[in-house]
Amino acid sequence: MGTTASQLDKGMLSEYQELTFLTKQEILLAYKRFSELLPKEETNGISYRIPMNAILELPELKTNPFNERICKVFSTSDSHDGSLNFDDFLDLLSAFSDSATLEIKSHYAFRIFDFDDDGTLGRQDLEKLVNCLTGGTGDTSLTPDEMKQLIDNILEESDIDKDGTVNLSEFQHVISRSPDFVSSFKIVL
Amino acid sequence: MLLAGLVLTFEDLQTEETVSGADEEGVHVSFSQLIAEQIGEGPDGFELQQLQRALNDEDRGTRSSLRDFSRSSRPTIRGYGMEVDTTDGPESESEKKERLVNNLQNLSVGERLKMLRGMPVSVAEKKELRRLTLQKDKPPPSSSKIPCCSQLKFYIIIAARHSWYSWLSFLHSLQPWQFLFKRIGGRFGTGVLSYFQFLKTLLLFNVFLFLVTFAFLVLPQAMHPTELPVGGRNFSGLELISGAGLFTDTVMYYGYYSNSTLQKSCAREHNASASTDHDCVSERPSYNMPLELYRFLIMDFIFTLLNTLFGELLWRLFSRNVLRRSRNPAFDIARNVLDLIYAQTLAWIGVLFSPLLPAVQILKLLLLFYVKVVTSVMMNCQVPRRPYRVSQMTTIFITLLCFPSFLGASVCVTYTMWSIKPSSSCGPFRGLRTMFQAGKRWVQELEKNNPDLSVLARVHAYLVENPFFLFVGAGIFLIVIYFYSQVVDGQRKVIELLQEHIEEEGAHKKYLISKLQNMHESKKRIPRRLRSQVSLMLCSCIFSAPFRARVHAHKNQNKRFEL
Repeated sequence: MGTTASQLDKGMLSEYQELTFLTKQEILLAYKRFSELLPKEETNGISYRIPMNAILELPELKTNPFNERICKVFSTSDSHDGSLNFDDFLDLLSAFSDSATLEIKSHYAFRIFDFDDDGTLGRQDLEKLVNCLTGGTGDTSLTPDEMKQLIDNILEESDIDKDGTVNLSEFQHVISRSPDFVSSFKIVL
Repeated sequence: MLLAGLVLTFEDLQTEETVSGADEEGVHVSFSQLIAEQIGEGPDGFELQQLQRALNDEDRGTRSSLRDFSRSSRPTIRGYGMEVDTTDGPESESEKKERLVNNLQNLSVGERLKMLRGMPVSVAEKKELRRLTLQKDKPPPSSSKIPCCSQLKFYIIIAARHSWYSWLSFLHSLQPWQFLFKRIGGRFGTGVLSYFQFLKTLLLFNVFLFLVTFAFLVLPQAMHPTELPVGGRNFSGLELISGAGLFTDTVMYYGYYSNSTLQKSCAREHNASASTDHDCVSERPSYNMPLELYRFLIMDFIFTLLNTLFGELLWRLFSRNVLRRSRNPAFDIARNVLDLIYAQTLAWIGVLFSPLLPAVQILKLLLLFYVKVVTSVMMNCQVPRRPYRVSQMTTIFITLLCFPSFLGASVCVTYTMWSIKPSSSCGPFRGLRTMFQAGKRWVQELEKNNPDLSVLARVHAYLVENPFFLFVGAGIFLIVIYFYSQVVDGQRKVIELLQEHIEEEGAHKKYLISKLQNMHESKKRIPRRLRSQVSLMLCSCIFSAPFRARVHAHKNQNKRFEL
């Protein structure tokens, strides 16, 4: 490990503490894990963008069925390729931390589930969501009839304005009635 | 983790003016904004506005008395276009940003930070917003205008705040097993974690008890060892289990302690009789009591270890192969906690007779912690199926520790000190009628030796020995208890009111949603399907399932356990 925690200076550390939900120890740990993913010759860790396939090697993200969507949502790169710099990485950890509010978590959950980035969860988004959970291909996936029935049920319950899609407010309304959403929407390094 | 929680609440209290449990207006505001978003879409805007007015009118009559509490609605980001799906209003991006920055400036520093944190935008944008806000802040008046003392006060306050936060984060990092707890909690749930946190609490109690007894009892005695006949005892491993042998003549047991007090010249008094272990053996209670308690403790530990290492292993193999169950047996939290409480009771009873017993207990707890972590949790790593209400269980653990356990131990000890005649040739209380008399005798000697301190002796005679003082003390104690019980009663009533409030709000929401749906359906003429509870649960499960699934997958993939 070439980089040490002392490279993160105090001013930046306190700024990150103010702007995210992470504690000082969590930020330092995040910096340590981030530096491990940097290539050896890179000295300036903060602004370097780690490509998506390297981020997905982290054990906390490897087994998550939505890992690619998570990287794409939190990435601020211009090419939308899912690469994360340190700011984005902290953003990710902050949204998934213990102390993040329900509003933040539900906002980001909505964006993660919105596969086509159109601002609402349409039928295609919901289908992809269910396929990610059940496996997509093989004998654990649903038949088209089952899928249609399931999505109809979901829309019946969450679509208030009956436009065939779930928008953010409807999504947040459904989530607010689920008691363990906040505790399961967590990634801890 | 406990301290982190405390720090967070400390900061929360600093920034929020009041705690508002049911933010009536907040709920209504957010709901009317939900309606407002729909209004933009079409001709039913007018009907929706009427609906909203109807709701407000109906509501005014039924509001509960919670309105009397002063309330601060939290700054929210609704209305700033942070949501993904708002249609582009008349404002452009830069105008929205201006408005946001202006509103941020009007908030206090704490609330501003809270709002910035709660914004679902990237860290880079937050940095930008913060920079803009600070830039636009009124520039601080030039230093020549501030009198020098308030500038100094300003710096002192900043330094104090900074050092307070550093101290808190230092304390936070001192917490033992911090990352281990996070791992256990993440993998096996908060129920199992609560057992280990209870173990840590017990460890801290024992450390405190040990420090006190060590400083005041063991250390002075160890520095002035009584002379004993040379017995030529060698250390054999058997001592650890039986407690006899080498340990009999050490500070471990009550019998070793002399009944002399330390004089300035550090010479022992003439009447301190050197006790031999032969005399002590013939005096059953002062030797055998601590010995028996020590043995109890060690036996309990050995049997717990055996049960953990072999018993659970055998049961797991049995249930796997013979009973053909597909899952490992779950970690039995209740039984383990009761074991801990039992051992702690023994330690508390024994501390009167064997002052080093807390040290034994500390070692025992440390070993037990690591053994439990590695075997019970790793091998029988079954995530418990029922949701575990951790805060209630933790309260129950502490209550069980306090009431039967600590109270019983202290009653035993008090009775022993008050009524039982201590052995006449052994230990620090020999020759007295009860152990309690040692205190009296000390005061008498003090008065005899230092006549200047006779005031203190008279104070002692009037206060401690006078039953009136005890009555007054007990009276004050009862008053304090009554006060706290009234506070708890009041809080219970507030909770009931808030629950009723939540139910009312739920009913309002239901009413509004059904009206909205009817309106949209009548517009589009879609037949209404029957609603079912199953589809609601389905939605919640679908949306929150992915991250719970991660825990199981992670556990199966990664068998290696990092401590």
